[in-house]
Amino acid sequence: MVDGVADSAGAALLAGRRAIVATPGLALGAALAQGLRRHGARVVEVGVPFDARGDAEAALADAARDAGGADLVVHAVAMPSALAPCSIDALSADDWQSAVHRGMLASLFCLQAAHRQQRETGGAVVIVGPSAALVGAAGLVPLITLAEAQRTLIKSAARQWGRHGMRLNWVGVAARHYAPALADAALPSTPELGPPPPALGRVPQPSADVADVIAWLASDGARGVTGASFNLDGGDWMVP
Amino acid sequence: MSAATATATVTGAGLLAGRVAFVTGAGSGIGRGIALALAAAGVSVAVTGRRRSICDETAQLIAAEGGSAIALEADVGDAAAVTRAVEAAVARWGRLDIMVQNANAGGDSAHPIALEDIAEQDWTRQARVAWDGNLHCAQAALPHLKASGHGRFIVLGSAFGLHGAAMNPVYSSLKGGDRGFVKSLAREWGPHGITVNAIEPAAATEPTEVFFAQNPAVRDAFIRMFPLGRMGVPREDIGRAVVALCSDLMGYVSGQNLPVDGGLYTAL
Repeated sequence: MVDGVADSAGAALLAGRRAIVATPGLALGAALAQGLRRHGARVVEVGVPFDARGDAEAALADAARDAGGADLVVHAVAMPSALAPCSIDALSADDWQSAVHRGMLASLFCLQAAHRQQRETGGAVVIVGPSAALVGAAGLVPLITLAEAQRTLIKSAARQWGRHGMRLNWVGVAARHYAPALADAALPSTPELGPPPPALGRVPQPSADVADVIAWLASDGARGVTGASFNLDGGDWMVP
Repeated sequence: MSAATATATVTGAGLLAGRVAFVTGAGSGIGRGIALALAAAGVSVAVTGRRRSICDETAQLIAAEGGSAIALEADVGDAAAVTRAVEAAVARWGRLDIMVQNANAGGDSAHPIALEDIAEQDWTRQARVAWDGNLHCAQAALPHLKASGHGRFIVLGSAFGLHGAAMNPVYSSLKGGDRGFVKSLAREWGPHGITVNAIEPAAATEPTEVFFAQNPAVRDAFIRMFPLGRMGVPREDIGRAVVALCSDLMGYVSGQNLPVDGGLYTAL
C-alpha cells in the first residue's frame, strides 16, 4: 500500500471491502470516508436525508451497486434542531419532533436498509454518535436522547441480526465533530481551570482515530465484537 | 422496635408528608404501585392516565387506606392535556414536588417484533407516549418543581433500554433514549435544586403475566435470571424505591439510572 494503512501483517484492513458512509447533513461523513479509504476500502458517501424507509433503501441500494457491495455501513444523523443548544422549557414541539423522532426514524430506516444489503452476506454496521450521550449534556436533551436511543437500537439489532453474520456497534466521538459550538457540551468548564484535557491530551479526529477504529470493527479481527459501544473521547469520562 | 415502627420503616410512612406527586400511567401496574406507595408515605397523589375509570380505582384504593388522591384523565402525548392536569393538581394542593413519568403504550415491552418489520407508525405510536410524554411532563412540571425545594423528576425506564433487548427494538430504543433524557435533564435542572433520575424496574404486571401464561418455558428461564429468584412487585418493590428516591435521604442522587430488578442487570 502506498496511501493505505497496513496492519501488522502488511495488509490494508479493508482491502477489497466496500463501505457506505451515510451521514446526511453532517460534515463528519467526509472525514470518515477519507479515513476508510486510507484503509483500502472502496467508499461511497450517501448524503440524502432518510425521511422514509424507501429513501434509505434506494440510497443504500444505489450506493451498494456503485461500490460493488456493502460490507460496511457507517451511519450518523443529527438534525439541525438537535444541534442547537436549548433548555427544555424553551424547546418547541416542532424542534422536539424533528430532533428526536425524525432523527431516530432516519437511523431505523438506515439499519433496515443495511439489513437488506447484508442479510445474505453478513457485514458490519457502525452508528457514530456524540460521546456526550454517555454522560448527558445540559441544553442538549434532544440530541442525547436520540443518541442513547441509537446506541440501544444497535444492541437490539445486533441481537436480532447476529444470525445473519451482521455485526453492529456504536462509536462515540466528540460532540464538536457534529457542530463546533458543542465543543464543551459534555464537559462543563470549571471556573478556575477551564476544561481539563482528555487523558491523551487531544480530541480524537474522525479521519484518523475514529476511522481507524471503524476500520478495525469492519475487519476480520473484530469478528467477535457486536452490540458494543466504543467511546473515542481520548480518555475523558472513562465511563464504567 | 415495635411492629408499628418496623412497618413504618418499610413503607416510609410519613417520610414524604405534605408533598404532592403527579404519577402518569397510574391506573394499573407499576404506576398504580408507585401511586399507592407514595400515598402510604404521606404524599398527595394526582393519579393520571388515559382511562379515567382505572385512575378512579387507584384513587379509591388510596382513599381506602386513608391517603389523599385525585384521578385525572390525561394523555401524556397531548401537551395541553398534561398542562391542564398538572395545573388541576396544583390547584387542589397548592404545590407539586414530584413528577413520575411512567406512562407507556400498553403492553409493548412484551410484544416481539423483528426490527426489519418495524413500520413508522409502530415507532410513532409508542414514542408519542414515552418520549413526548417525557417532554410534556417536564415542561408542565418545571415551574412547580423549581418552587418545591424538594423537586423530583423520575422516569420509569427499563432494563430493555440498558441491554437492548431483542424482543422489541422500538421499546428498547425508547427506554435507552430515556436514559439520555434523564442524564441531560439532571444537568440542566441541577441548578434549580431538582433531581432527575430513572428507575429501571423489573416487575410482574398484567401484560407480563399474559405473556408468561402463553410462554411458560420463557417464564421459567426468565425467573432463573434473577439473583433474588423472583420478579418485583409493583407497590412493594418498585413503589417503595420511588419513595426512597423522592425522600431527602436520596436528595443528592441525580442523573442516575437505577435498576430496581432483583439483581438482574449488573453490567454498569
